[in-house]
Amino acid sequence: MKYRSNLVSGIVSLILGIVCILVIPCQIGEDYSVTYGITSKTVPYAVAVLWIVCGLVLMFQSLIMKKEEVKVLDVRKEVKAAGYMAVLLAYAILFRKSFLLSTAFLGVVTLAFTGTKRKSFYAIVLVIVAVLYVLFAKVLHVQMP
Amino acid sequence: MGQVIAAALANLFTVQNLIFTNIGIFIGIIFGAIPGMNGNLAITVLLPFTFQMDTVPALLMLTAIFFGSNFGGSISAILINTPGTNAAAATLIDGYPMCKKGQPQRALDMALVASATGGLISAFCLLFFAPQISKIAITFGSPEYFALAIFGLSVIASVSGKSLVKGLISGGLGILLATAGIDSVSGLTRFTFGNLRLYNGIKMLAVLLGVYAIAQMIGRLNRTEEVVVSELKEIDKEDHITIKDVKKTMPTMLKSSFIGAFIGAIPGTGGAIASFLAYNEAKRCAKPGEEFGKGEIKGVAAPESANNGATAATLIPLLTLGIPGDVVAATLLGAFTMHGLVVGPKLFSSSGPVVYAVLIGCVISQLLMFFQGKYLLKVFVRITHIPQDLLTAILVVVCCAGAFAIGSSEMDVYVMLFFGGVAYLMQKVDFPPVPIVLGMVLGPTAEANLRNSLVMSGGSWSIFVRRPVCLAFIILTFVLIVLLKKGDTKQRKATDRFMKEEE
Repeated sequence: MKYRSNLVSGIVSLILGIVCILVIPCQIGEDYSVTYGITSKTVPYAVAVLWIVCGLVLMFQSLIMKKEEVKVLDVRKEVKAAGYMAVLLAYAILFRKSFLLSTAFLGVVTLAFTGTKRKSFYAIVLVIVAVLYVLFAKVLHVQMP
Repeated sequence: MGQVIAAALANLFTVQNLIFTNIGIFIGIIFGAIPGMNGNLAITVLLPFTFQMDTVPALLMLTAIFFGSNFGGSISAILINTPGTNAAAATLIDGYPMCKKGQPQRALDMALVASATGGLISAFCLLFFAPQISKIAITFGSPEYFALAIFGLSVIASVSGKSLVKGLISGGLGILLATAGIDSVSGLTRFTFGNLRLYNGIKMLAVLLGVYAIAQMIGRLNRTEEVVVSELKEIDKEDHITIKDVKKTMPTMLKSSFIGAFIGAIPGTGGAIASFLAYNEAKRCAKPGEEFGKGEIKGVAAPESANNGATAATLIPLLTLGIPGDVVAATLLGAFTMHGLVVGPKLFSSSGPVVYAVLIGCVISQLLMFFQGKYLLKVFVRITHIPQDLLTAILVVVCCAGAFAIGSSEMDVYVMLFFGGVAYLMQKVDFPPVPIVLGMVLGPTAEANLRNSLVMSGGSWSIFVRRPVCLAFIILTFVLIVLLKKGDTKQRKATDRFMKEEE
């Protein structure tokens, strides 16, 4: 699947800028101190405007100036990447329950995603997770979930 | 001053420091030698583990990783024609032909000697110039700090890759992320979305781990090609560096080291630009019979001295002005801050013994790197054979443990994972990741000092042009942007030309 890098970036940047402008009033309160024009909202608004301007510039470059890089999206690879991101999400949920089990799960699944079949690699990763747990929980006294 | 140096030396010469500096160099060389890995990744992954260490050994280890990785990059450049780091790209032009001619050990020895020479000169420059610049910078007020932060942000122009516009968008993201949490000036909360854990803001290290490590690991899952590193041949008596080689290349090494140190001290440049400049200079001064591009030993000496010459010098603007000159410096800035040191003009007066210990340690690191390279080269070459899939899985779990260790909070793990995914998607449309870090580091400095400056001037913006240092930085910002864009285009053209010639 082909896509135009500048055009996609431009649209994303424009949308982000607009969303940011809409979100700022709900997320940042009014500044009642002496501000000389620079309030807590100024920098976020400046970034939002920057995104909108940059988004428009990228779209202009793509559509009018035809300055564009066409990229190819390898759907099979991206499905794999999306699957791995879903694993990361599952890991984030499991992490609260237990560092040891969730991280062991993540290590094993990561190896499975790389397609390796060597059992020794799985064993090495599991040992490393256990060592990290002991290192943090017992040696460095970090409270692990 | 004498007392500070004495305290620094007492801080420095301990068994613990020696061990951690050696570990840092060892890890740095390995990460530099493995294509796709780099010193910045190593520093980012290991940073959370240094929190429990004392400041001096922690910073010595992290800076040693930086130095080691620059030399490590030359190993894969010479042996497999793939630069382990960007800075080693110029090394392979003559390094790989030397390897093909049956002189891999000679090329690696030359890279080591040149790296150590460049590194030593650079470390001495850092040791002598940084405190002097700092003495001038200590008089700075808020307007100067604001101008400095803007000057630092102009580095985005050089680290944006093909598109400055995309670099600005990434930089904006970094600045916006840094605003999350309680605003230190007004006390208002920003972008907390009702989540108490966000009141303290988003931790930079968690973002760094996501952007540099996790995003890279997601990308690596799809790599199928095997990286095979050539074994060094069994002892070939003819294949080693000679005194004659060192004598012949010494003027080139010295000149390239100073080029590297000078380039490295300019924010936004770094080892890659320095090595190409030094290579071109060595080629320009070539004597009859010296065939650059076909395995000329000076073609290895020049870029290696220059890229290591740039390393410690990169820390000059970081330590004296608080400007991270490149991405590794930005990560090291995070490291210094997390260990309680406030980089910038007041660093030398507030934390003299620690800083001098690190600076002198930089000199010693170069010597240790030389000895490790000399005696452990074969071990490094073997370690680069570690299968990529195993390495990916190990790094992912280490990152997760590291992210949690930042503040014993799951939130940092979530932030890391989230930004890993975001950075992976950003890669797909060529958004550069480095400006995010620059924005996160310099954004808050610029904002706070802009507000303070306007309070000082009663709301008059002319304060920024009335103060000479401030005005100088504003002019320098424009000059730097123009020069960086020019230099960047030149370097890209040189790389493209080389790649075409290779094809």
